[in-house]
Amino acid sequence: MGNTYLLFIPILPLIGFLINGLIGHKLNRKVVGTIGGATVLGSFILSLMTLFRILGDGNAVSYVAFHWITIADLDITFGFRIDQLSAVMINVITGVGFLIHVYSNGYMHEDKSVARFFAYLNLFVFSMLILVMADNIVLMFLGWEGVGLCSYLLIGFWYQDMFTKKLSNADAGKKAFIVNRVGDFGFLLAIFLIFMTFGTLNFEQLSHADMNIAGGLITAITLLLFLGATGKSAQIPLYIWLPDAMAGPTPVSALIHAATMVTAGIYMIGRLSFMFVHSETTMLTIAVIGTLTAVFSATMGLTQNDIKKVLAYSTVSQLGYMFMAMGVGAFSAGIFHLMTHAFFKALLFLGAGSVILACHHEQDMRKMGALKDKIPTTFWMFAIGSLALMGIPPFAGFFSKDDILARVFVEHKALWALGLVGAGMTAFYTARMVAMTFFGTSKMTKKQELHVHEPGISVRFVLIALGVLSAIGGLIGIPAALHGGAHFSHFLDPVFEAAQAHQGGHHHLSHLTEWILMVISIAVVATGGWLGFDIYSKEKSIRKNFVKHPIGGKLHHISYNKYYIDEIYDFVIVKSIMGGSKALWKFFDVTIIDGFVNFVADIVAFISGIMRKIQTGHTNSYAFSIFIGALGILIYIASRL
Amino acid sequence: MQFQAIYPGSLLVAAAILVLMAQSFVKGEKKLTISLIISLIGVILAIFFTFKLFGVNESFYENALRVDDFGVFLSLVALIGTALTILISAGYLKKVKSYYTEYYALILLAACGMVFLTISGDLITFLIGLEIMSISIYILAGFNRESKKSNEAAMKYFILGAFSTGFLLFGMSMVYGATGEIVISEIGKAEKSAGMLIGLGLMLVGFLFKIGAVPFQNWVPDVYEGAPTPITAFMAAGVKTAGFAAFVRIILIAFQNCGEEWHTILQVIAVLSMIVGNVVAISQRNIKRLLAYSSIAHTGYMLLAFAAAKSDPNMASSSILFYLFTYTFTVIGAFGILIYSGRENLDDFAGFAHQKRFMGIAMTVFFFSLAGIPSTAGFMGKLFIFMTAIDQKLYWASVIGIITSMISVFYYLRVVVYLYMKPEVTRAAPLTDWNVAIASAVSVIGVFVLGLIPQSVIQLILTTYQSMLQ
Amino acid sequence: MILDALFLINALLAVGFAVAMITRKNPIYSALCLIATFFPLAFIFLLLWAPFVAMIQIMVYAGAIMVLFVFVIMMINTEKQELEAGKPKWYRRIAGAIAFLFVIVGFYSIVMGINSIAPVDSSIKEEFGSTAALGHLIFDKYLIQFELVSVLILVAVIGAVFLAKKNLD
Repeated sequence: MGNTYLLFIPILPLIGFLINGLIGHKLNRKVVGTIGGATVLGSFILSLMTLFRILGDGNAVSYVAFHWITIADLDITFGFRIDQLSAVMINVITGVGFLIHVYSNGYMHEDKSVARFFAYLNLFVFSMLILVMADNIVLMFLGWEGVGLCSYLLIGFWYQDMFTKKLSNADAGKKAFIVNRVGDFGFLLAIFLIFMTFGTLNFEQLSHADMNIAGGLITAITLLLFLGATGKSAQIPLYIWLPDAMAGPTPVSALIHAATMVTAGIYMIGRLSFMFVHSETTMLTIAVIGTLTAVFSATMGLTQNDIKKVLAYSTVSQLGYMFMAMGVGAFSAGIFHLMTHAFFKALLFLGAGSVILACHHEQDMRKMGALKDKIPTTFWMFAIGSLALMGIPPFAGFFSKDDILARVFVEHKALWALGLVGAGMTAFYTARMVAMTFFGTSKMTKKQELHVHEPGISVRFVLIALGVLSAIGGLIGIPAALHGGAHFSHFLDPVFEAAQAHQGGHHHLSHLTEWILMVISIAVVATGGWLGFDIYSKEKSIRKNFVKHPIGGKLHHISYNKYYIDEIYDFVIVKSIMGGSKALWKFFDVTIIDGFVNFVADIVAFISGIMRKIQTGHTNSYAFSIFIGALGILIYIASRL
Repeated sequence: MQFQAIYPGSLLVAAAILVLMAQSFVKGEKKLTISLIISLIGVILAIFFTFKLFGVNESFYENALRVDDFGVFLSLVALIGTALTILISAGYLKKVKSYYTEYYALILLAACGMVFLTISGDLITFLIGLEIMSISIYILAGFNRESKKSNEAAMKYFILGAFSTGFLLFGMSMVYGATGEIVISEIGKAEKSAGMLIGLGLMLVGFLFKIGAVPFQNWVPDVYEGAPTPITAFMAAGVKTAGFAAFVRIILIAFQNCGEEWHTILQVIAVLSMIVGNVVAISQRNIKRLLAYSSIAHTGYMLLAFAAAKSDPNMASSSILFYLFTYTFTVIGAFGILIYSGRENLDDFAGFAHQKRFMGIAMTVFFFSLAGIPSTAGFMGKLFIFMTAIDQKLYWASVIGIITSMISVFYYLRVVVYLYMKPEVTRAAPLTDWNVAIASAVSVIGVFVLGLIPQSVIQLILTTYQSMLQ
Repeated sequence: MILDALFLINALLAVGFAVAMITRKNPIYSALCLIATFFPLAFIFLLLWAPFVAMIQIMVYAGAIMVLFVFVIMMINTEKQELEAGKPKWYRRIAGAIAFLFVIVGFYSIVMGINSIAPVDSSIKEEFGSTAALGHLIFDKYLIQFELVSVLILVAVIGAVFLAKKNLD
């Protein structure tokens, strides 16, 4: 029973949610913020304790609160199991989560429904913790849906506002929720198939189960799970919700849509890695989809002018890299990138948040510029985050991204090449973003410029903390080629043991090859970064010429309009379902009725006479429908006689 | 023991008669209060005595009654539904200023019909129970005598109900002709024959009408919309529960040898119901009508599990029972809030959650439960249903079911969006109504208990199929 | 032999009047045809040694219920045009086709099912349908059902009174 404290890791934020949600509107806003932050801090301390315990003896910690559902041979517990993988996750969630709560205290200090905000945020942390701590898939699904719900609530937090001309914030939230349901369909179906095939839903028991009994079904199961992952982690074809999710407050974008929730798909694949490796089709699909997403969304990031949208497409792209890693079986590399990405992307979003605040809620980078000296702390931290994102050594992103690319190189040369192109583009748009925001000439009015100010102390503290993490967070995973110990990867080894055993170990690259790869990627990144910075920090005519050029202009236009994917989806799916609904409705309630209004009058003329008197209209057509149903059943029965 | 079996039913009749007599002694609004108290006491006593029938598992009165855990459990569900309906009715009657206490008497009598329907041991008891319930509901549906819509609903329901009962009776006589038996368990012992199959087909028509499955569903939207709102709730919860009780018992026991046939028919009907219910609901803007279509869809889910009963009757009937229990809380809660707010149209609900904080939360919970969001009862119910169906390899039907239930999230969520994320309409906030508030609170608790700690209920349910066989 | 002949005659009569009932345009004729259907039916019950049911059939249906029907029809006084209105030809044809199909399926089912009718219990005594025998059954074996019917009637009475009376207070 010594593990009871595990229960408190998710319970603390839940308590915060209940207090803030039920009576928060009557409390002082400082109290609300403190409750929100303190509960997550408590969870973080407990998470750290757990991490050190696992670091100590290497054994997973588990705790079963109660038996949730027990039917015959099915036993679903409300239980937690923390192994190395989930230990990393809970620390990222609560650690970054705590920092973002502190940040939100400063960021949201003017908002009138701050209690609602912190309540949702705490509920999110609770759900996310359930997701990663669960010891079975059903409980994981509970967290999975919970985070989706919170994401929806928080995207639509400022529901009165319009996100774009066509899309209100509330609609953006709804879009996220509904797109996610498509993925959830796959996840749910996979859960049922897993239960049918293996007779258990517990991760521990599944990992010991014989995967071969599933036969060909394993491909179906893993592909469905991957469909779920594409929804939550915004991959092709379900990525469309994430850019619109930027309608939410910036801390939300940082916590949910960059650092934690969107990585749930990666986590799920890591958690079930022993299952995924049994289907080569699925693994290849994951690698290909991941690579395509990484490159595709990077191209869209090249032209966006909204600073948060650049970061959004960048997130989609980075998630693509993580999937790429998962797809080639480099699970620990994927998780490593997940962690470093959580640091530097949270930093970038929060940095963007203070830029936006400094510029009076202006998100368009074309209206910024030359902010470098006006908000130096923000600038330096933002710069660290950008370097980490670009993958410049020794910042965090370099080690993790390089780890992934090296592993991809072993498995698929073509994907590696695409990944490299993506890395170049990443460097380009990151440098472009920094250049447009902090360098060049200011495009603000004089009055606006006077108001530019550094954010408050709590915000700066958070930026610096994340800056430090982004700068040195990668050092725990220095590869052997650089005389590092690859500690992170070794730490996670026990989790991916089964998967790696099935893959038969990976081919190690020689140190020389690794060196060469690193140099190539640094060269590509440096070129991309330099180009982006050079073109956008000065008023170069190349920009205008490109846009004016007939082909270049079209390319720019297509990229800027995100390949019209939203419009296509709207037309193909939404319109057809709505149309179908209307048509069916007409068919059942209108057509049949109008067509057969008086049919049964011939059979029950007497009743019909009275019916007409009291204006009931269409009862006889209803009877007709019953009649047809009865006929159908009887024909079937007669065929079986 | 024999007498204890009819305690609940008799108590309900006695309470109904008391309600009728009470109106000779009190007048005006007091009449309503007294009737409300008598009705509640009657139902609660009935619940108590029903509860004591657990574990009896015997037949009484020459097999007329079959008191087993299956029937007792569904009796309880129907009675809980009745109690909640009575609570939300109190609010409704006050709102429409109706002082007719026949209303409560009819609800109690309908409940009596439900109780006998759930524990009927032969076809005659079944039919009479069904008619007691149905006729009470026909009258209740037309209880707003001034409202044209209400009259229309009652008339439609009555005529179509009579039509479907015709099929049911014809089927019963075919079965009797083929087997010479009216006792359900004895019919099950007979060989499969042509007469049985024809009887099965005809009886299915009657059943599927009562539970509102496609293509026998046409009456549902009109009647749900026209009937007084608490009666709509009663129909969605109580009538459906009792209807399913008899349906499941008769199909699984009496027609156990015709599995191949009803398996196929139910699967087709389930798929149709899920598609039509969920898809048509999208274009509805009247919430009562929306819930009507949603109820068709929910019937479809339960029929999906039912189709799986051919190979695994235990899990199938368990998941149907559990679903009915969850649905009772959810749907009565949802209708309760319609009554509380005094609104029916989606647009009128804009910003309602800001006017009435707790009612907004409660409504969100109910709609999330209908949509099957985890940690609510609705999720647990759907989990069982789809698990059973996929376990019995009904792949395509299940995939259609899951897809349509994903579609359904769209229109459920839209209601929540209106509650929170639309500018408030200029309608005065409704007055607090404690009766409805209590019913909502009970329902919210029910939704979460069944969603988070369903184990005790599941334990109870898992043995019910065996209890029917004993 | 003679019993069979009697049954056949009465069955044909019953079906014939039933068809006539639904084909008549005037509701009064329909109602009269319905009454006419009940008599051969009652006769069939008599042939089955069920004199009580036969009597009830005539007294309750032909006597009470049909009189009520006829009264209602006369009071409502349905216009002929109203019944004729709005009946396009095309769906009459579809409806006719479907009804025809239904008849065929029903007939086929009955022909197939006729073999499966349970054998008549030879222990049935001749007076099994007598009033006394019925009374014993109702108040002994089917007591609970009988009591339930009384509840059903109570419901019907409440409903009728409630829906019909003008002012309730």
